Formats: sequence, C-alpha cells, structure tokens
Amino acid sequence: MTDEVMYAELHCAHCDQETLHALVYAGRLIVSSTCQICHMQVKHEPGDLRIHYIKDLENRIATKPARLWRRFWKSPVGLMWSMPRKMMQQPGKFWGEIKSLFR
Amino acid sequence: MEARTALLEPMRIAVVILAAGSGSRFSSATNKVWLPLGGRRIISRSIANAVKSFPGCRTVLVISPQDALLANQVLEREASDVEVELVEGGETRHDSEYNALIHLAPAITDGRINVVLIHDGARPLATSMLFHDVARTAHQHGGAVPAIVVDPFEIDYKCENQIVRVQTPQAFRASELLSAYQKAHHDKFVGTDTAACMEEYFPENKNIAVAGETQNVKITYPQDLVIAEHVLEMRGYVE
Repeated sequence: MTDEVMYAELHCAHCDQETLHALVYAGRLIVSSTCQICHMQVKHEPGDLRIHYIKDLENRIATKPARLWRRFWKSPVGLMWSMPRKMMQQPGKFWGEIKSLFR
Repeated sequence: MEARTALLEPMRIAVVILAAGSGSRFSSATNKVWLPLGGRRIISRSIANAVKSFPGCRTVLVISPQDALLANQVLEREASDVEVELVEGGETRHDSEYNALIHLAPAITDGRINVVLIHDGARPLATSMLFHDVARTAHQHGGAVPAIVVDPFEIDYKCENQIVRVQTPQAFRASELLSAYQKAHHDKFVGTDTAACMEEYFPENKNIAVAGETQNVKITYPQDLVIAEHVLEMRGYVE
C-alpha cells in the first residue's frame, strides 16, 4: 500500500453520481482522491497530512513486533522466506511515501 | 409475555455482512469495501467489529462472484482467525440478503440461530456496543434498527415530522426474518432495506429504533474515507 493508486467507484459530490475515483495512498493514509470524470480532488491539507503520517508511522512502528509475531505464528516459513525481500524494499517504500507527502 | 420468553433463551447470533455492491461500470474499479483503510481493508474492519461483539457467531460475507479470489486473499491475510462463510450476492441488496438467509435457513429452522444481524460492509466503524444494542433489542422485541435524528429543516423547511437517518447493523428475530424473505421472494417484493421487508410481512413485529452512532459512517463519498481515517486515529487504530 505504498504510494499506491487504487481505483474505486465512489459518489462524486460535483458530478452527483457514482464515478470512478483514483485514490493515492502513502503508507496507510489516503493522500488524495480524484474523480476521473470532473477531476475534482479531495485531499488533506499538506501540513495536516504530514502530522497524520507521523502519528500513523508511530503506530505502525509500535505495532510492528506484534504484527510480525502474528505472521510468524501463522506461517513461519512464509515469513522467513519473504522477510529478506521485504527488508530490501523498505527504503524504497518509505521514500515513495515521503515523496507522496510533499507532492 | 413474548418478550419475557425471548429473554429466557440465550441469543444465538449470525451476522450477515453485505459486500456484493451493485456491480461496477468500470472494469478497473475495486468495490469500495475492499479499499484499504488504516492498514486493513474496509471489509475486514467490518468483520472484526462484528466478530469481536459475538465471539463464535456464524459470520456470512456476501460478495460478488468476481471478488471471490480477492475475498479469499484478504480473509486469509486479515481475518484468518475468523471462520467466514462466503455467499454469492444477487442483483440487488434484497437478493443478497435473501441468498444469505437461505444459506442460514437450516440453522434458523432448527433453532441454532435465533437472531440475525444484517450489516453493510461499507460501515467499518460500528462499535461493539451498537452490535450488542441491536442484537439485544431484536431478541427482546423482534427487530432493531439504529437511527440518528436529523434536523428536518436540513431537508425541507416545511417538514414538521421527525426524520431519522437509518444505519446498520439491523437485527431481527431469525425465524420471522427468514419467513419474510421467503414470502417476499415468492411475491417478488423488493424492500428498500431489511426493516422494510419485515414491516411488509410482519407489521405486528416491533422494529425498535436504537441510538445510532454519528461515527458509524457509510463510505460513500471520497471524504468519508478521510473522516474514517481520523476516527480510527482517535481510536488508536483498534476496532
């Protein structure tokens, strides 16, 4: 879910109908949502988003050990197998998130 | 007298979560219930809230056939400790509810389920307290619908009636609910929501309004996702 764009049908207040929206995520947070018909964009104030991102990041870091532990119990081999690749991806992932915050 | 008898019986609950949607006109669109919200999919938050309220209850998730693969992946990753039964949705919300009730029919008929809660998968912020309130009220009186009073002047300045905004989860006694949907299916009656179908076939049944929750938003507009994120942050990201 890193700087990821997802498309979903949501109600556009401007078009007053269900339209396709592009949703950009930074980590767990939504950066923006853009109606693909009228291009109306809904987004956080940039400063506000950064404050939320920091709070969210604190929560992600605080809950990481418990989440890893749960995954370990569910599938130890799967976790060990995917761990090196995931760790390699972390710097790029955070860089992508930070870029989204300052875009 | 009937209410007192019902109170003596323990509640045996099934929760039906509707996530089939109305079908997309865009092939690239994800059904909104599968969007991420605070690190988990909207639907897995809805499931977690329901299951936390009634551990061990039967949980039915109604999905579109095209979402089956995604549903299995998400449930495996985010709700692997919960036994979720997948049921294919229908053309309308009413059809989806009917399919779920037919799936539960054997257990309802032999009394293993006596209260059914119907919840909209796009409402990921309903609290355990609300789930408990509607279940308890339905068990006691027959039906329960969460509602929030709206200032009628917001809608029409001439309106003098009290207007409420209805939410989910809605709960009903299982046998009456199943019977109402079987009759509706036979008569080709389509209700706007679960309570409407119950009122059509069991007008004597009391559907009690319980206090809804202002934070129990239905994800409809893009800004609802931002509001939901803020609510989750306030709650410390726990359901």
